[in-house]
Amino acid sequence: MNFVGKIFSKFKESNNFILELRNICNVGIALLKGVLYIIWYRIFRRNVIIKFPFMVYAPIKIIGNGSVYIGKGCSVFYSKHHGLTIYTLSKNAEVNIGEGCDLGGLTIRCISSVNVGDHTMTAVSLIQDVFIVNVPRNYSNQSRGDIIFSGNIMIGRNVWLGGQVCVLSGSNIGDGCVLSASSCILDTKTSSDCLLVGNPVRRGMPIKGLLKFRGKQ
Amino acid sequence: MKDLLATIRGHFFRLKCKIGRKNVFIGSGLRIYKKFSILGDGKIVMGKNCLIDGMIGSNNFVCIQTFNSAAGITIGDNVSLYAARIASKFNIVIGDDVIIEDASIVDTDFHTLDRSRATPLDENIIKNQIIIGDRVHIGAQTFITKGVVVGDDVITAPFSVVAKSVKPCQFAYGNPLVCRERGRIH
Repeated sequence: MNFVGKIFSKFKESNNFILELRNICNVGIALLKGVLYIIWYRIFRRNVIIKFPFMVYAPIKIIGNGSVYIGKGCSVFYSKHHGLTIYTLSKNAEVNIGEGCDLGGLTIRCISSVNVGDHTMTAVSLIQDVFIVNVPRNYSNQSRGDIIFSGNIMIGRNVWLGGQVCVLSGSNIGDGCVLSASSCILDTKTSSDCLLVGNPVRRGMPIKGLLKFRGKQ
Repeated sequence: MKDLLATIRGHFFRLKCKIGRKNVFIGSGLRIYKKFSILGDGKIVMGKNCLIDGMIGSNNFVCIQTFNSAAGITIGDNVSLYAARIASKFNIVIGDDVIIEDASIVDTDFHTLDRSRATPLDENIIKNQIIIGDRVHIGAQTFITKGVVVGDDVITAPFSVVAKSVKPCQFAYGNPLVCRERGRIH
């Protein structure tokens, strides 16, 4: 019921009646699309669970037979190619996305497990669990077994992933972190409330100390 | 069913190249799962049992291009290309059992650095050709620039830029490139 309250508060403030009406229509269409997606996955794909308030402004794709869970209050926005694509490579793969996330143009390729915390924001970015995606499809050769290995990915709460960010296997991002645009993180654990820059990320700068990046108040 | 369709599509593509294009030579056992485009009139040689596909969930496809008739691209046996983009002005050699996914390999600069943006005059085959060894795995969205030699058994992580040569049995990542012994990270 939080959503309805938000909409009515916007409606009271605005002067332009028609524009607000159009916005409300868009929100309604997104909610209806979300309900249709939830019913579709409930009937045909039992491994995918999506909770009710789910706003879909852009098409989503979920491929593979691993288990996927998306919490309540998530919304998917439009981007370059798709809204959200999730591709699980094996049966044991687990993807968990928390409550209230804003997902725009995110792609997840998962073989073991990916955890995304509550209230994270993403731009066009890639979360990949394994270095070479298509190896398990072609080769069951034992001599190449070390390539298939992957580490779990943990992303904390209130994290902001910038544009064209790549999160690779074994990375563990703390709460409240900000990943800068076109940076890449690999096999490191970071502390909370940091700005992470570079390819690969070496160490985080605490956000409290960075006065020049603070906006005008 | 998909595999059968892919083999049939590969046979048709080989036939089309034999009749229409005299500069393209493809070995037997080609499988095509998604769109495959070859541009230009340079010499292109592909080995046996190659596989061509796109990354699942995206619209990109494989594209191989040569810019003049003297250019050449040779690809070995059992190579699988997933949405790879290969463009050559001089020479590119790729070994056997290589996996390339969503990466781009280009062996020229196309223009000079000064304001005229003319074609660079100091480029030649010896300086600019790219050689990639056997059993190399190239991750998604990496970029391989001119004059690079990549040794055997190398893995490059996604999002890296390979601007210098890599020794055999290494794991390469990042921009600027960092090389480590394989088996330390995984």
